[in-house]
Amino acid sequence: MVTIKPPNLWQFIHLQHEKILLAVIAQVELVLLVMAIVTFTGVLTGVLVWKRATLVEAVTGFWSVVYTIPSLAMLVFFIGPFGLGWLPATIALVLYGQLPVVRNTIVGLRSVDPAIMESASAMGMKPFTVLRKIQFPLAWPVIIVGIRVSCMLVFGLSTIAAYVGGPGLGDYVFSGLAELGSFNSMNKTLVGSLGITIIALIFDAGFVGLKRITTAKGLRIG
Amino acid sequence: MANTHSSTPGQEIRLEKLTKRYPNQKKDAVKEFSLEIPAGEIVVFVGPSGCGKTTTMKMINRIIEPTSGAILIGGKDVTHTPAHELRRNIGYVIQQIGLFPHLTIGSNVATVPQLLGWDKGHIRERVDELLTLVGLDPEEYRGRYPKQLSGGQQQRVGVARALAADPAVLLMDEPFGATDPITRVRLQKEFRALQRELKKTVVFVTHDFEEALLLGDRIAVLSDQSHVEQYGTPLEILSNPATDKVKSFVGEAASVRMLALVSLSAIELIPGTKDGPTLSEDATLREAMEKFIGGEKVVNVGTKGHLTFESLQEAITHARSKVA
Repeated sequence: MVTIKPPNLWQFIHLQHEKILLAVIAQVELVLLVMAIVTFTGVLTGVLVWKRATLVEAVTGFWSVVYTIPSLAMLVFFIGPFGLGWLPATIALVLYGQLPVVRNTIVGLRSVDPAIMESASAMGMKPFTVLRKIQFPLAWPVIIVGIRVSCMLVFGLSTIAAYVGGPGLGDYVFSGLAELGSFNSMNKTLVGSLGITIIALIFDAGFVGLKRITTAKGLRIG
Repeated sequence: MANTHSSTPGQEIRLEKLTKRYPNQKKDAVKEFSLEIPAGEIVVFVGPSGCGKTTTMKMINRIIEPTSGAILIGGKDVTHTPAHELRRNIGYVIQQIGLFPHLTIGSNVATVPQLLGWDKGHIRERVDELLTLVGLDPEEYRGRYPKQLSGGQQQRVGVARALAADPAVLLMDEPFGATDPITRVRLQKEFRALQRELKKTVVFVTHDFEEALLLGDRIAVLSDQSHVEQYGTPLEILSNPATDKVKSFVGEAASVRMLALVSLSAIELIPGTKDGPTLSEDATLREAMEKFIGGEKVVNVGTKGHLTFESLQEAITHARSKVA
């Protein structure tokens, strides 16, 4: 009788590298798409509501509630209206990602010294110019931290989004776990979970660099 | 401080029955405030905190919109002109300074010229001129950031920024209040010298009566709801306080303070000079007094003559009796 030794992790990656690479690309694409939408909508929401205390409370309250919905429940719920695949995954992740961005945008815009804002108006800047040239650049270091937190959150949840056919490495985790005990189950699970972890860490490092580059020099010096 | 090659002189400000009432408040914050501020003068609003002096000042550039009343600058009613246009012709300096921390000193000073669409070369020239004017070397400071400057230096930049587009009017809300006493006195003196050259119309808010005396061509003593208790020159207010509130504000030390207002050119001197320190004729009785307190026996006044302690005392008594 011939015993076939199951491939170790390196052999598995080597054998499946094309499939894995496609999953990695899909994973990155999904997160970039979601984060583009989250950043745009979340920052816009923050900019629109920061001034009015009642709106701030309503908006952060709403996204906090959304944030507490169990992810699997929301994903399964979206299968009804949106089917399987990219669409329900993207929508669910966009909803989960809102809170950190909206909250940090509001906190950032509110933390700008009122004396600085008043000076800007008193120089004769129109309200939108004050926002664009003074308030937003000063709030940016806080806002980008919100985007970073949101991005890490989306990475975590994107794994689960594979459950509704979402793209990316999450599929490896789920099929690995589903076939537990079989030939390549451990390898699949490891490729999925380690892969996502590594990509997430690369993104996180990217954010550190991005924050440095995009923060005005006058704010970085001590 | 360097000369400015051209400077727009100040314009007269007339405030007519300016009133500010905040919603949900029973009393007006400022009630029917009327005042004429002559062109080219420093008028100081002085009064206890909460009396509405800052609110009144902020209604001039409509950072606070008046509930009713009219603002005329240079004879033109600006109560309803677009606020951003009005403000580009009014310099604004506040106690918190409010420099933009993410922009260089140069860009901070260039703010209003940029809004007005000046060309780049002109802006660069103007920035350097202004930094020099407030005593900061452009080469050294233009590219720095606000955080890299001391409080006193930051407020010099604040003044330069306010003067950038050569406005006719300057509003200053306790601008030197946050600096240490030594820096404050230096900034006050520099500002006085600067104003002698620029002749802007300046509205200056402070709660410090000493500062009002030092800087004001005129002083408006304000009480609750920005009620004008008295409006006059420093000497008028010291020598002839109109109400009890003014009297209590002027305080016990009025006659001592008055020493700082009478110059040595106004008193009789003993002819000839002697061995001892020399003060200019522009120096005040107070400065001469300080010399004597410091142990000097004789103080020369220019080359015209000299003072002894006895002759100074006589002069002070004489000045007091004239005022009383």
